[in-house]
Amino acid sequence: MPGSPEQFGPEVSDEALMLRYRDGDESAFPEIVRRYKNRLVSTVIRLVGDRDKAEDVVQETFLRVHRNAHRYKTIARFSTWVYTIALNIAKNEIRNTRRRRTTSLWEIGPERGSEGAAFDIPDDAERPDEALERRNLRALLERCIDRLPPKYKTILVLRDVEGLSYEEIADILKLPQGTVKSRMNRARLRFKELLEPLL
Amino acid sequence: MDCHNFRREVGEYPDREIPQKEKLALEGHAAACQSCAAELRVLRAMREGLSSLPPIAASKDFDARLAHRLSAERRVAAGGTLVFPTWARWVAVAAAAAVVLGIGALLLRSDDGARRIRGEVASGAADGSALEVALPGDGAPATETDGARSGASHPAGGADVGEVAAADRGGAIAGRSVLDKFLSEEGVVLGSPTSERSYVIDRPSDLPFLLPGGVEGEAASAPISF
Repeated sequence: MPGSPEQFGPEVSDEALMLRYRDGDESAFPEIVRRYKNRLVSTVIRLVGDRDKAEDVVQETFLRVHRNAHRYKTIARFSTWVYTIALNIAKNEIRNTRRRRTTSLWEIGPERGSEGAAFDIPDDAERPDEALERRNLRALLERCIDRLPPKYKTILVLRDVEGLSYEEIADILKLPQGTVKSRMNRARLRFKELLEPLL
Repeated sequence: MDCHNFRREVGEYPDREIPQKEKLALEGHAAACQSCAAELRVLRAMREGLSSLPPIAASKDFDARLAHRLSAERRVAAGGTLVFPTWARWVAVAAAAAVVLGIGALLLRSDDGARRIRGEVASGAADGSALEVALPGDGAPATETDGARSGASHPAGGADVGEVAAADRGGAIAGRSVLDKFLSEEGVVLGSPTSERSYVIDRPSDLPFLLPGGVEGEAASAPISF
C-alpha cells in the first residue's frame, strides 16, 4: 500500500483520516489499516475462532472501507462504522462455515507468524511460576469466551475485552442500550458459570 | 437487597458506569453475605482478566496480502483485465451463442422470407488473427471491406483486427440494427466503419463464437453459418 503511516500522528482522528482517503489522499489508508488491523483481528478471531478466517474477514472489511469510501460521512464514529462492517462479515462467516475450525483459539500463540506482541507480553519482573499462572489464566479465559453462545460472546468481547462503551456497542449491534446492558449482564453470569469449574 | 436480586444485578457491577446507588446496594449485600461476596470477587477478577487479554496481532504478511487484493480491486475498477474461471467463460460463450441463435431466428423471420443472413469465415482466418464475416442480404455473399480480406491485416487495426461486413442491400436494414444492438450489448468494441455497412472489430476475441473453432481458435474447414 502506498504512503507512509508515520506521517499521521495521533492528533489526526480516525474520522479525519477517512475523510482524507475519501477525498483522494491515498496515504491515509495504510494508517487506517495500521490503527485497526490488530483490534479487528483480535475481536474477530475470538468470534470465529480461526486465525485465517478472521484475517480474511478483516481484509474484506478494509476492502469494503475502500469501496465505500466515497459514501463515508462523519455522522457516526469511524470505529463504529468499521466494527459494524467487520461484525457483519464475521456473522456471515460463522453462519456459512458452521465452525469448521482448524485451530482452537487457546492454541494460537505468537509462533503463528504474528507480528509484535501477539498473545503474551513478557514481563521481565515476573517470576516464571507467575508467568505460567498468568498464561494459564489467559488460556482459560479464552477457552470460556470460545464456549459462550455467539450473542453473549460478541457483546462480552466488545465490552470487557475491547473496552467499547455501551453506546458504541448499541450502535454497532443496532440494539437499544438497555438490551445491550441486560445481555451483557447475562453474558457475564454465563461466563462465570463456565469459568468457575475450571479454576 | 436479597441474594436473588443480587445475582440478577451483579453482572453490571464490573462496569464503571453502574449507578452509585446500585453499586452501594450490591456492596452492602456482599458485606453481609459470604457466598455473594465470593461471587462479586469472581466477577471483578473476571473483568480484570478479560480487559488485560493482550491483542492478537495480525500476521506479518497481512499488509502485503491486503495491498495485493486492493490493487487487484483497483485494476478491475479501472477497467483492467478480469479473470473469470473457465466454467464462467463457457457459460458466457453458451449464453452469447444462444443470443446469436435467437437473433438469427428473428432476422430470418423478419426478412421477407427470402433474405438469408449467413456468416462465412474464409480459410485465411484459421489462426484467428483476421476475421471476415459476411452477412449477405440478397443473393450471393458480398462483402464491403475496403479491400481488407481474410488473413490480411486491416490498416485500422493491424493483424488483430476482425471485420464484419454487413452487405445487406435494401431490406436487411432491420437486421443490421439488430446486429448493431447485439454487438454493443455484447461489449464488442467497434472501430470506425470501413464503409457504409462495415465495421472493424477491435477485439475479435470479444466474439469467440465467430472465431473458427470457437474460443480455442482451431482451424475451421467449413464455413460457419448462423
